Amino acid sequence: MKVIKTINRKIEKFLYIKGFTIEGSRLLMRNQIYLALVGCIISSFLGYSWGCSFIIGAILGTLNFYFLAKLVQEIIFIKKGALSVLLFQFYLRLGLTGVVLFYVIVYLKANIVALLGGLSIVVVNVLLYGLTLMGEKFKEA
Amino acid sequence: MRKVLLVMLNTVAFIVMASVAFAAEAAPEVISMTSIATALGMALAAAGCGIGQGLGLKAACEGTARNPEASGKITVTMLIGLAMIESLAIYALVVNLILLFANPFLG
Repeated sequence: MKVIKTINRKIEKFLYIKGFTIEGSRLLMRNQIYLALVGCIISSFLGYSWGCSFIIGAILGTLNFYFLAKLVQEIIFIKKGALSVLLFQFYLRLGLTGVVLFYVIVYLKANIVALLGGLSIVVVNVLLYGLTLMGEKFKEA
Repeated sequence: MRKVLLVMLNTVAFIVMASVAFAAEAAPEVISMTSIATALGMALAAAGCGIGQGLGLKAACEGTARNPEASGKITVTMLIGLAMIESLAIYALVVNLILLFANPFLG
């Protein structure tokens, strides 16, 4: 238990340094990393094609979520003249995602179900976090 | 100027990618219909996701302007919404890429 707490603290410290100043976003990102790691470990036992596709999807989804979360926080606490840079980063991220998906599907012939499964980790993470928020609301009422 | 540049870049990208799609051995009608389906699918997905993200962002901005102290919670909720909407767009992109470049029905 103590080890998990130490790892949690270290990850959250790293995320805080990287610009995740809001606690909720830090928790979301931390859970996303854990879920992606667990998914990658489980999928690596399910064969080469499935495992590789799932891992690529998980990495892509996690990186996408990381940069989206960072961007949203930077927009909230925006400094003068930084908007164009942020917009450029946003479109660059989307473009790179498209290029990577294109390469993986067309040239590497990835397993589509596994790829979509890896990309869906973000949705699972968000849904789980939403469920915890619902629980909090019930407690307050 | 920026819009014109974006349109031009998109056109070039589609022309470059079309050569890969048309290299497949299939009837020209099937290829053209698949291309139209892909374009329509991506356009609808992008439009829907754009509207959704815009509405979410608008509501978050209004909420933050009215109550700046709640900006943290609003940001996290907005992040959740944006992530979900964007994952839908990525799903649509994957399906469209399969349709265009790795269509199992075209052999």
